Amino acid sequence: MLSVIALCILVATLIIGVPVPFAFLASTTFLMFFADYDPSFLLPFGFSRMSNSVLLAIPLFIIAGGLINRGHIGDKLVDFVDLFVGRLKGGIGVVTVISCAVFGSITGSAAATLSGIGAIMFPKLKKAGYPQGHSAALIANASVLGLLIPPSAIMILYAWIGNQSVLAAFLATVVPGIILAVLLCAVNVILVRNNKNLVLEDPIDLKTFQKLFIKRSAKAMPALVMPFLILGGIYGGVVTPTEAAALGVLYAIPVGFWVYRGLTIRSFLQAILDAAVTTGVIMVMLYTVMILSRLYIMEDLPGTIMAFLTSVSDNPILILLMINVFMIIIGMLMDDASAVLLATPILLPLAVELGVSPIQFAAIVGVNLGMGNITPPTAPLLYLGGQLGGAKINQMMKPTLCMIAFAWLPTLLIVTYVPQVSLWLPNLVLGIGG
Amino acid sequence: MGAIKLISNKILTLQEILAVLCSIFIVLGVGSGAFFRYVLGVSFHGLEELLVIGSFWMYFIGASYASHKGKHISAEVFSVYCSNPILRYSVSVLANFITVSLSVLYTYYGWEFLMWSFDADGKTSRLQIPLVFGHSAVFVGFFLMSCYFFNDLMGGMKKLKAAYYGKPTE
Amino acid sequence: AESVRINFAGMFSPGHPVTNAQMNFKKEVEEATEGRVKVRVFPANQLGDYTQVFEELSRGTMDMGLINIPSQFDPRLEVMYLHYLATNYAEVRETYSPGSYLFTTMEGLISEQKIKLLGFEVDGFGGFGLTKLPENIGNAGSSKNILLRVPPMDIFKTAAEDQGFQTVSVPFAELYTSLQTGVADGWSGGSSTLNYLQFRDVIKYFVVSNNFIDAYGWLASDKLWKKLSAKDRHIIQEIALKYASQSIDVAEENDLKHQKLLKDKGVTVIKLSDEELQLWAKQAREETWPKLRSRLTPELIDSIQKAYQAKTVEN
Ligand code: NA
Ligand code: NA
Repeated sequence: MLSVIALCILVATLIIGVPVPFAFLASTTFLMFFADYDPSFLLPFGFSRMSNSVLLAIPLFIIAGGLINRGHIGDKLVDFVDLFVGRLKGGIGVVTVISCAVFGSITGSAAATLSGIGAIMFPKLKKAGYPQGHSAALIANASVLGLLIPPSAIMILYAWIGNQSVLAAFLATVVPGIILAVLLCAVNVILVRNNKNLVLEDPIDLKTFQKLFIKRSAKAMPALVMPFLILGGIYGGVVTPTEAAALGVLYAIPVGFWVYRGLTIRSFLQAILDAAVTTGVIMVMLYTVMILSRLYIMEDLPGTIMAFLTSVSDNPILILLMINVFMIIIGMLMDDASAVLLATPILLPLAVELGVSPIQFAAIVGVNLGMGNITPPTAPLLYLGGQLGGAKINQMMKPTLCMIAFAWLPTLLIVTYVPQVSLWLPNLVLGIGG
Repeated sequence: MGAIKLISNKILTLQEILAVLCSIFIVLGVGSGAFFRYVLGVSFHGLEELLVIGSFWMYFIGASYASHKGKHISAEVFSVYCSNPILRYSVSVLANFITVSLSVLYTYYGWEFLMWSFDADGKTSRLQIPLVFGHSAVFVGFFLMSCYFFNDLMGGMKKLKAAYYGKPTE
Repeated sequence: AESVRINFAGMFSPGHPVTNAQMNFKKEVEEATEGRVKVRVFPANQLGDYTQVFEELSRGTMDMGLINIPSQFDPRLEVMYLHYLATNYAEVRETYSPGSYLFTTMEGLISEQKIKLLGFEVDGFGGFGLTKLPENIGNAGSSKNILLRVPPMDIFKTAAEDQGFQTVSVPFAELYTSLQTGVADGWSGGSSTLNYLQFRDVIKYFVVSNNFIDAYGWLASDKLWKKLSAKDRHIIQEIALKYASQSIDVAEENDLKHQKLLKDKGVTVIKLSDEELQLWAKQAREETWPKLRSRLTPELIDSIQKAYQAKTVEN
């Protein structure tokens, strides 16, 4: 009973605008006083949980993302992708989605993907005659690929809280990410198919294509090397995931300064400071959620929720559906990082009890809470997309709802009920999860 | 008043420098760990103990700087959907008040943690670095956050007062 | 009267033999105390890792733990990992039972942390899980050209380097991937059971070197101990000791069983001969132990060396 009140306090403080870590502390403090816990272990407990060098991957991927953004690495990638799909009807939209996926393979965050690709694609989409609301919605939705295509900050968090292999969690969201990308492309093409205002790019002959291919791939090469460096480095046994992230930073510095010449000393330092601030925000949230989930466990909140769910139905398929609904609600209320921190310790044990592998659950969490970024009221990527694309939220709602209904929810259902989709790649590469 | 402003500016600059230095330390530390092992074939045992200390300072200095810049994540559902300014500002002051209270409470717990850490005199297992070097970041972080959130609360009350007397200050 | 509630933290997942011991302990204690004591088991590091649990036992915010004994507050506690305190299971029983030199020493050191040592849960001898095999693996001191992951303790690093390995420190969470990808060629620090349960898919060789004893402590906070009546203290102490003592028999069985399971799984299991084992032990006691004087204090090393010399003379 106390834990349910504590959960209500969490939701209430979130709604009135208390910063997320302090909403967690509000719930913690309530339990501490009313369930009579000695406060002296709370801060040391959070500290000990976070004294782990594996977590350093998060600031490192954030720093790498910041440097990539300021180093103009995004434009080269977009030019490259444009060459292949830019000439189809609705092609620029498809370029946007695929660019987000490619950009996502070098950064760990969706927001970095959004600002990196958004800055380049908004003018292009506008020139091609796409409605602004559609463009902003499309980029906001596609930017979530930044966290489904590895590396991914929230998958690091998941792996760490759930005591799973980081690499396996990375690999679990790859196929779901590709499915989502394909569906987003399809929804985009269907939505714009009757739009008379669209301007198509001129077709090119094979010779021009070859010429452009050589030129653009040479330009894009230093950026395209990055995912191979990061994932290849991890899988090839050269580095741990944390070290791979540091390698990403150390690679982005010379590329940003001297190859693409987007970085200056000033913007470099600013990028580092921004990254430290973003990291601080995420990690203090992590610190507080660690303390909170410790009390939730001692109060047996997961057990209470499970008892509730099983009292409604004992059909595992339905319970799994309800777990998803629960996560969608969390996703509507919170950003992805806080949501994964809150949902993993509560829901992972339930999922395992239902026979879902923790690696498949990584993908379910990734898709679900990734979607949370574009579901109001708390929809940071949707708002950021609107801001960057100069579109009003109400203009973005219709295309966003179409994408949720015909791209997100189908992906979520496939990931939830077809384990192979998320387990195939981890199984192939690591021989685990099956 | 001028002196407080001067000191707070100095502290902010110090936070910026510390945050950047910690970040660079972590990048170089993790990178050189991989370099030493893979290229030179030697391992720096205990490196992660130094990195963990650096990381806590990065986290808490970063987070306190974020509270100065208003960059903490909050849901703000209410403020987006409430059109009555007095109600909106009142709720925002309530949120500020809750945040400050908790922040002060955990600054106090952070102090107790720090004192306990001094007494217990724990050390890292490889390099024998006193644990208090890392633990102190928690207290410093919460302390700075309390100051900045208190500032926000004052600002929020001013806005509420202005709205109450019909002078909205958007 | 009001019942005493015991929060009992553990490190292993539900179903693991050590967690099962915790569950059985709970059942027996609750029955024997006729409801005066209620035990709640939190497996799988749910309440934090062993360093955290130990710290909380010391503070009194946790009641009991069956955990690794960490050394952040007293490096001397690492003495239980000193290599070759025992070379076979008969010696393990001698070394890790109440009244032995090691038990008395550890009991005293732990009580300085306001924690009571009720018994040692023995998991078995630690060996080497390797992905490649040096030809001279049987030789105690010769260079082995193997990058060995060791736990973050001086004892392990010093011992492994004296044994001819190059050492590398990788967080345990990343060990599996590191072995798979070649960041490390092997690891020291786990029993055949642990190697089978967690690393059977990635290691190719398991060397039965009986390096050290992997053991956990049955610990209770002083605060809990004060709360309990003399009668209930006795009940809890006896039941904990019963399981601790059983664990040594089970460890020997499990060690053989998991060596065989590893073999069945295609892992080559290499047993050092008795003669080789005695040479490894001699090398550890004469070469490695003295190097740990600064870490474990000269008094401790001197007295333990004296105890072992006396034993060698006896034999
Ligand atoms: Na990514
Ligand atoms: Na949302």
